[in-house]
Amino acid sequence: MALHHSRKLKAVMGLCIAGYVLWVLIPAGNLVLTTFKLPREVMTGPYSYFPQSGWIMKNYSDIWNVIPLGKYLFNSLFISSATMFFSVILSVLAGYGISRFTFRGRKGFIGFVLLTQSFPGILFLMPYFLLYIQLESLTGLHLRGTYASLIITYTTFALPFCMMLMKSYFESIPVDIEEAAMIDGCSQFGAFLRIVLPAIRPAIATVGILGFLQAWNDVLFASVLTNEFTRTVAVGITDYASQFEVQWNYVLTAGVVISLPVVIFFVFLQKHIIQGLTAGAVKG
Amino acid sequence: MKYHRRLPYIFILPAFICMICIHLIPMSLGVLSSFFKLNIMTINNWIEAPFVGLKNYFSVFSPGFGFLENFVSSFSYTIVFVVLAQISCYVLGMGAAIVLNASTFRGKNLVRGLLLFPFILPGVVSITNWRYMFSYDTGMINAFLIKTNLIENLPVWLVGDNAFWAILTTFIWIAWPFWFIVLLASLQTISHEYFEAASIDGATLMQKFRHIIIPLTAPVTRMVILLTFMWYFREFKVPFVMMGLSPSPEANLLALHIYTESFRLWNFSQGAVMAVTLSMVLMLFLALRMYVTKKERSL
Amino acid sequence: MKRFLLILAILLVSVSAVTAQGSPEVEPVKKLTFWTFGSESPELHAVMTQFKNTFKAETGVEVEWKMIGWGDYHQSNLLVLSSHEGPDVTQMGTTTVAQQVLAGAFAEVSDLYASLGGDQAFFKPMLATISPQSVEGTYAIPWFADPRGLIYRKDILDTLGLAVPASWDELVSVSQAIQDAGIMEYPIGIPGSAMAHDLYQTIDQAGGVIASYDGSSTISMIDSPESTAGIRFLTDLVTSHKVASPATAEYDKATLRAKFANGEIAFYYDSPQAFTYMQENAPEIVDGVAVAPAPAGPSGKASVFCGGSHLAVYEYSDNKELASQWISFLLRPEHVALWSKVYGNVPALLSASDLEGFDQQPWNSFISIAEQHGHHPESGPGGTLAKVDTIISHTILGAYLQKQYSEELVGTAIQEGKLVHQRMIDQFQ
Repeated sequence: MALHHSRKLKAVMGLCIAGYVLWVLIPAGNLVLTTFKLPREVMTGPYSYFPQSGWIMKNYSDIWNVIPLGKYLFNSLFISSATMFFSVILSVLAGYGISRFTFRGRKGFIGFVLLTQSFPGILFLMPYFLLYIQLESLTGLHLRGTYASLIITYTTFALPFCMMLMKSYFESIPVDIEEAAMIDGCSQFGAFLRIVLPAIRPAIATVGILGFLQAWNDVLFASVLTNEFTRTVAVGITDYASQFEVQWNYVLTAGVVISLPVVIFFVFLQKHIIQGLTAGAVKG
Repeated sequence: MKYHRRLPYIFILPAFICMICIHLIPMSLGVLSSFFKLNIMTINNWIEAPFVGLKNYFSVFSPGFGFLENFVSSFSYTIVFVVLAQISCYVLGMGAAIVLNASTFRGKNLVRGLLLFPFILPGVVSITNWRYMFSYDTGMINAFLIKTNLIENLPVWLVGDNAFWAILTTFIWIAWPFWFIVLLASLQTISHEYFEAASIDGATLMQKFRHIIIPLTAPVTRMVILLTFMWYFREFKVPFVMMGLSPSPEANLLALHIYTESFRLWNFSQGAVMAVTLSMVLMLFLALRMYVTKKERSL
Repeated sequence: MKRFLLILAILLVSVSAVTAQGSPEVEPVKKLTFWTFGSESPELHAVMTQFKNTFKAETGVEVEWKMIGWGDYHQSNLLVLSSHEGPDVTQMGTTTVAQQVLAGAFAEVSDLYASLGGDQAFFKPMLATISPQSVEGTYAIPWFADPRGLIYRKDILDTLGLAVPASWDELVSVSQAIQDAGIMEYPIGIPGSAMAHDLYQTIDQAGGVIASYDGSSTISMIDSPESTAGIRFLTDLVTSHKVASPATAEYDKATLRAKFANGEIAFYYDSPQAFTYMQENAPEIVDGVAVAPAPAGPSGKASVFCGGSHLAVYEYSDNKELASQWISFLLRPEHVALWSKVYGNVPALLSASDLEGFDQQPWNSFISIAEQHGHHPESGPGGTLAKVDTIISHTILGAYLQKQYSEELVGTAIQEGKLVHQRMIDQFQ
């Protein structure tokens, strides 16, 4: 990197970095510090950044009774992991299909996939509501409020983006390698399993993470498609925060608790997440 | 390469089924429901809801019913919201990317990770946190204003004109790291030699920015702008979590407006009309995005 | 064509595989499902478990009970209405009964109501909402009442030598006296983010109604002179009198409870739950707190908004007989009293009002003010306000920011409110 910066410039850049860090850290600090305050201090003020009445752990012990967080966390983890799993499988298959073969309807399929991106989630909400109900009364197939309905929905909504990402990854792997393997006696599917799959591991990680985060963070679909048994953390907290009697100390404490898994996830997978984001944006 | 002609279909089949069942069918139903009378009375037996043709469109798009006025106001605020969010995110993201790209210090990776924190935090958590920060007499922002003695009458942030700025600030806080990381990646692909050559020629910082950084990151920037326009235009989470089902008109972004109209006021058909309109706008943008991509590829 | 058939076959197989898995099993035990709304607590849980066990011992019927947050109330109702799938028996807020009945959700329970003692057996303010005005017969059985009185700091009024306000003017002058004494900045608390109940009450104080039914159709009365006077009064509290905070539109009931417990406000409207909250969070002020009816407006009529909850049987229920049994069971005086007590309201059954300490302070005050001044908006499609309360509360802030009461601003808001309200009403007729 060009390192011949003048002292003045270095100082300015240092200030800039400090400014950015503060812009991120001050709100984050508010979030974390509030969870250590007494409910009354939080609800009535006057506001102070650091807890005034000592560091209280009560919020963290109470929260499990106020909001059934344990149940919500389990639901979210289950739904998000399953979404991760299925979006990887489906997008690897479909991405491979559209990047390696030419077949009738390929262009139409790609166009359709791209087109779905332009439909806002809100357009689907009422139809889901009605369709799941109708499906239930016609076939007895119970979908509304089940894990399955959410997993299918999230997977499908993550698909267009993930599929296109996969497609561009596959296209960057030369076909020759596969053909060489096939000459050596592998079937096409064998070549896919043994040669191609290992080569796209980073893309798989990326797609998995995107699928996971999509399910973990969604409020729109979960607010209509879940019931009290399958409620996810994001909706659980939103619901609690929109009641007539919201207590900020509990809302934020729950917030910190549900953020922990994602933050830990991020610390370990930072590289893949960043790769995923940039690749997705530039190629998607 | 030789293969069985059925093979590609097997590969795309699972994805295809999902897209048909979860995208195409509900979407068609969504569009259809804008031609039927669907409200609290007919929802009881929605399959036999009466067909009313274009009547719902007529009621949404002609003045006097109250729909048009709300829709136009919500639409305008959404446009302003998207444009301001994009500009701010670009400025913030580009600034951080340039500074971080040009400097070396210990803990640079840590700082980069830290700046991504708002993006990683579940949206709901960031938003509730900001809502608490914006509250009138227990929030951090007004506490700060009191300390600095800058303003005589404390602002109410979550209601009225200020509500727009409250959701915008919150949204930018959440959204800007995406721009940062994408622009940073794009900057890292620019060879140092450009900067060095420019330095030798005595170019100022501003000149380097205008003649090297801007043109070389332009393709990525263009893609991000077109992509995020569609994301931001249907933003639902920030106003919903911050304002609930009764936002001020200033914070009533289109997606939330449609949600409220459908699920709070039970005007499902009118909600569908607005959702269809929103889709049209987004489709227009998609077409633009594909055109731009195509043009760039052919260059 | 072969290809197409292959795809179709795979589709069918996968669908039927999932279907087979999801098909319901035959249930040997008789079951009844029951929904209540509110925030779950260990105490409520214990009481309901006891009810369920006793009921099972008596009848052999298993009750499946679900507690749903009020935040999910409207959506749960909508879901049952559209899917015809839900509980057999449900708790139903007084303001929404009429809409649900008109939409065809509930079964008639007139016989059950008569067998439980009819009109004479229940708390008077609850009788208005057991069926819509336009419909004959009873569709809901009163369970518990939620009277909202003026909760006020008697100790502060005594120190200043002031009496509890009995009119709008007095409310303002007493509040100003508290301000002048330097005790509080804004002595009146209004929950602007959810102020439907305050609007019902204020419009009633002004002598108006929110909707009127003339025997064939319902018309929103949000724009009547009386309603306008009520809305103007609420606006004035913030703008010209400056006795309520400019942040009113942001406040909800929880904010006000915390503020009252913290000594920041001296007046606000709340149910008996307020005292439970204070005992837990600010026991030091409880003795100085009392409850009164809302002061009279221009009509000279003091008012107590008395909401609460009924029990109703869904039309789609296959267990209507069992449902009646369960309601009769819940409506035994001792059960009504116990549940109301733990829930934090007062019993809607007269024979339960001297049990569980309901004949003591503060409960009996609530019961007696509600008996005298209890009010509930018309039982009809206009019973809820849709978004009107938000439109009004945002206008109050707008008026404050313009530093004066503005005819034009409030007038526009009222017109918009009426449009939204009437549109909702029209769906039902």
